[in-house]
Amino acid sequence: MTGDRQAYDAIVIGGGHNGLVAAAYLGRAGKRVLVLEAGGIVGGGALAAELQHKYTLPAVSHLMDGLSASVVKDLKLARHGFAYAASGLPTVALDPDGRHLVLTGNAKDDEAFLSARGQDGAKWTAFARKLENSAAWLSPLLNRPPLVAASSSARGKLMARAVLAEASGERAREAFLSLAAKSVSDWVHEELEAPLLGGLVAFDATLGSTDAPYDAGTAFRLIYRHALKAKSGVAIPRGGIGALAETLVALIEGQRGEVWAEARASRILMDGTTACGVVLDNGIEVSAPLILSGAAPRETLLRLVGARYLEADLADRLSLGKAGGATAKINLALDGMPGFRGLTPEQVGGRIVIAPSLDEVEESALSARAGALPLDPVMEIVMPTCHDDSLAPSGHHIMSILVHQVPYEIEGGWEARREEFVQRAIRAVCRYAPDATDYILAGEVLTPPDLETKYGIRGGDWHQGGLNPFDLLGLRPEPELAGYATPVNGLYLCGAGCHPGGGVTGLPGKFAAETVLEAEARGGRT
Amino acid sequence: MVRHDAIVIGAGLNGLTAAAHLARAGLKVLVLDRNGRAGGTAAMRAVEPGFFLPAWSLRGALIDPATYAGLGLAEAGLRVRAVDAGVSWFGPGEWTASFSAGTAQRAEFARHAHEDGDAWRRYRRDMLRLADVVTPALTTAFPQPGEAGLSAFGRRLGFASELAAWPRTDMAAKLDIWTESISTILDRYFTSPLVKAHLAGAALAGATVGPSSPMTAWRLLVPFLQGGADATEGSPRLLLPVGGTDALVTCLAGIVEAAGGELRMEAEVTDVKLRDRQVRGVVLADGEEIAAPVIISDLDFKRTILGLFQWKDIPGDLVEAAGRFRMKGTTAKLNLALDRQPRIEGVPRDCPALAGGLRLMGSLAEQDKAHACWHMNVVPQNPELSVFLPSLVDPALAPPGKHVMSVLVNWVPEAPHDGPWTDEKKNRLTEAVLEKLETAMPGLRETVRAQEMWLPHEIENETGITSGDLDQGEMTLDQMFFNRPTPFGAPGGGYATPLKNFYLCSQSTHPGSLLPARAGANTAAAILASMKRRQGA
Repeated sequence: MTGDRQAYDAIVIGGGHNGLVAAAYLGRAGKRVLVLEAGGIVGGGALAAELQHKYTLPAVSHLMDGLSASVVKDLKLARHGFAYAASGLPTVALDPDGRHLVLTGNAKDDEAFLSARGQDGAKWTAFARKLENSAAWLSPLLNRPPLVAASSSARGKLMARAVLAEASGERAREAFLSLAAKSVSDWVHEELEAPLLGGLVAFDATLGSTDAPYDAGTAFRLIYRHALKAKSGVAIPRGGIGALAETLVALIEGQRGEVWAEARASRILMDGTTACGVVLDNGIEVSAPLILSGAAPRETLLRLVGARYLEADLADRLSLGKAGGATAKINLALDGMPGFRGLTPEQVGGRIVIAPSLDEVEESALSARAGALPLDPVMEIVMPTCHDDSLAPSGHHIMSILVHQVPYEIEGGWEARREEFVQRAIRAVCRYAPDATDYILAGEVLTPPDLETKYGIRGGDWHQGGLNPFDLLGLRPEPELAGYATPVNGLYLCGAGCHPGGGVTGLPGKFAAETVLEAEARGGRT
Repeated sequence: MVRHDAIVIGAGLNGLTAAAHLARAGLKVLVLDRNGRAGGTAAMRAVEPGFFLPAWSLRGALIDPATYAGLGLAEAGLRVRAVDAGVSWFGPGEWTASFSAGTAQRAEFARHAHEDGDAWRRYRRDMLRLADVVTPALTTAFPQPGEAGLSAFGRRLGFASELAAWPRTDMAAKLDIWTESISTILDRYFTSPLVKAHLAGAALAGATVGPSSPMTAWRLLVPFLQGGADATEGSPRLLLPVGGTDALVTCLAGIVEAAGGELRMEAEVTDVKLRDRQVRGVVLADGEEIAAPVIISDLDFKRTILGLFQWKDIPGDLVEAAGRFRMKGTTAKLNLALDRQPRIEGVPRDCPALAGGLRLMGSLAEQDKAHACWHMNVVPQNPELSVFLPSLVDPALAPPGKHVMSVLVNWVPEAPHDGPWTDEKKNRLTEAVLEKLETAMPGLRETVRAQEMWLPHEIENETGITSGDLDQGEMTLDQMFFNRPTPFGAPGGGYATPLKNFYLCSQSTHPGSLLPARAGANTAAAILASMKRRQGA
């Protein structure tokens, strides 16, 4: 069976938020775009799922803190109904003895709060300032297409960027350079004493990766995260995390585009060395002169295209890349609000982190590496129903838990250990909210391998590959692929595997679409 | 009274190298050391009368010809022997080795995995190419990132421009070596787990990281930084002074003395005298004061700043930086005197690589596990060992037919998690080391006529090096290049300090343990350059 050839100007493989953003930018430029999503629902790492048709769950990620303001503005997302149910959420670091820390991100408030509790007030401010300085140096590099573009003006661009970075001043540069290769453990040991702050910082620096806090380069991850942070701070969209994807789908459809769910790409069609269409695993073929893939680079080029179309060297490097993810997801439907000891209702609606100390985060990393379950898992808890009662029946709640440092391959196998894992995670929650188990109606558990099979997130690594300082020079994911274009004519990458990387920023999608449009404009001129 | 142009505190190899270069340039140099024997961490020791070996380090002094160029060591009587770089033994019949002869090396690796023979050729080519890029940055002071002003900006712009000129795949290869893990890079080339464990083990002796730790791959370059370019296409050889560290020390001291300088042992400096943040001289433990316009410290950064000054007299951020500088004990040392040459199970007695030493380490996964245990301060039960027989290279170090064995015990925590070191814990570790040696060298224990074990804190007590850290500061990227020992934010590349005329020359400065004694040579060059500028002005 053959689809209407040339009916589409572009096909986007993968309905993750980056794929949808890319499609929307292309649609805005007048292209008719088809988005192919393998799963039943679009959204990728930021999709919404349903439980018992009554609860709208954040399937994987559950917060937004870096959606690019430029994407929101360019695509007029607000006009299309996208809004935050809550923004600027506080971070709550739970303390086993009930002396919880609540951080708003406002330097003055946080210092006052911490000082009042004798917990590193001034030290935290100094730490936050150093983080701010370093992030200021990094931010202009992240919020633009990769440093070394594929064009002939690369040198000029790099020089311009060097001038830009210079403008941020020697203090920012020095802060960045002295921290870029540091481990977050060393940084914490140097600057902070309060165990809860150390635990929180180590947790944030390593969430979503297999890195342990004592691994070199983890300080960079923290800076990187900070540099991409949006002004709205930690936020939850109205209608749940899936609202972004839903808004984008409506937008794309309004641009005459189409979004197909349950449409898994099995192969990219080639005409000589040019990509010309996609074959779905049900045999349907669709063609278009432009293909963008939001799937991971390795998945796109090795599985969908095939190594024979690539230089052997590139194929080798892609195939060697290790999948790395160490996060599991637990979603619970609750028929009431559990009582978190020592937290106000407003604080329960914040980003709750259980990572009592740096040592505990290190220990869980060590056990995850050895293929063992951590005794006391570290985690991030969000209850989106505190801000949006449309997500669950009245009076009911959703508890979304990201458990960090969970091994992909576990001793004894996941089938045998799943229950034990859930018990440990829930026990950890009950330490702070003892009655939580009384309210559990239903739940869903996604281990790292589940994230791979259910959502196509290889290795459960939703950042599509690790991140290091030199990736900023236009080397992510591989030097040949860094400018979104691939060695295959007509095929571009637009997922989190590309600059500037993971997180719900929309930037890889945006930059990829812009690259496509620029290339076309250049092609049109000559 | 004798007038000195410069005082060097500490007669380690960096201190002596700096002193020799300064003496050759015409300065009257005085070298002071609290110990009875020069050589610092590389110093030698008699485990029993007539049995000499490196006391705390595995091999003692290594020679980097470029560092000593111009000093005329050969004329001063130093003989150097190049040896193949060692054998890794994993079990009976399971061993591999580094040979300097290309055909031998390829055949050896191909013995474990057919394709690894060719892989060696590519690996060596790429490592040498990368070493060529790095070496110029090691043999001079490293520009500081905090430097303001137009000329510093110009330098950075130049660097950016140079970077942009590199083809991207080339750039990736040049940068990967700084960001990737040892395992990742080895996986790109080799198939055999034995070959990978061999190359990783060699790169990790004394390290604070495991083979899978990020940003460690540069360690694989180290052997190629010196002597790697020999035409034989095999593994780079090790250059060892005949007679050990003592022979090198004698030569360097001779150069200093011939130029009118002086070495004083058992002369402990307790204070550096300051006036207006400018150094004036030193005070010895017995109260004697010696004045000099330039003072250079070969003590580690922590001990230098925290131990030689009144904290209130020097800038607070300097004290803070020294406090933060990470030094960690990772190795214990077992020294043995043997009645005969040990036989290694399954390895031919005449295997040339044995001269470079023997490693008893596990697979990459086991090395990672050993690192994790160390990180949690667990004393190893199955210790990873680096072994070297100095008497194989130089029979004069032991009586005829007898041998000395230098054993570096890797991954030994400075402070065990279950409480401080006790005699019992020390004995248990010693026993575990001897047992492991015995598995590879059956009958060895019967031939031991004397032994001594040094734990990290004991090495600190003996040598004065903080935490017994032989690298004198953790060698991780955030403590290398301009970050070693700390970005002073001024020209001088980490050798010149914010205290006027006070310099650092130990391994705590760039390039640390990447090139032996290079920090000393670089410091001397920085001092001479600054004197020239001042004379010119």
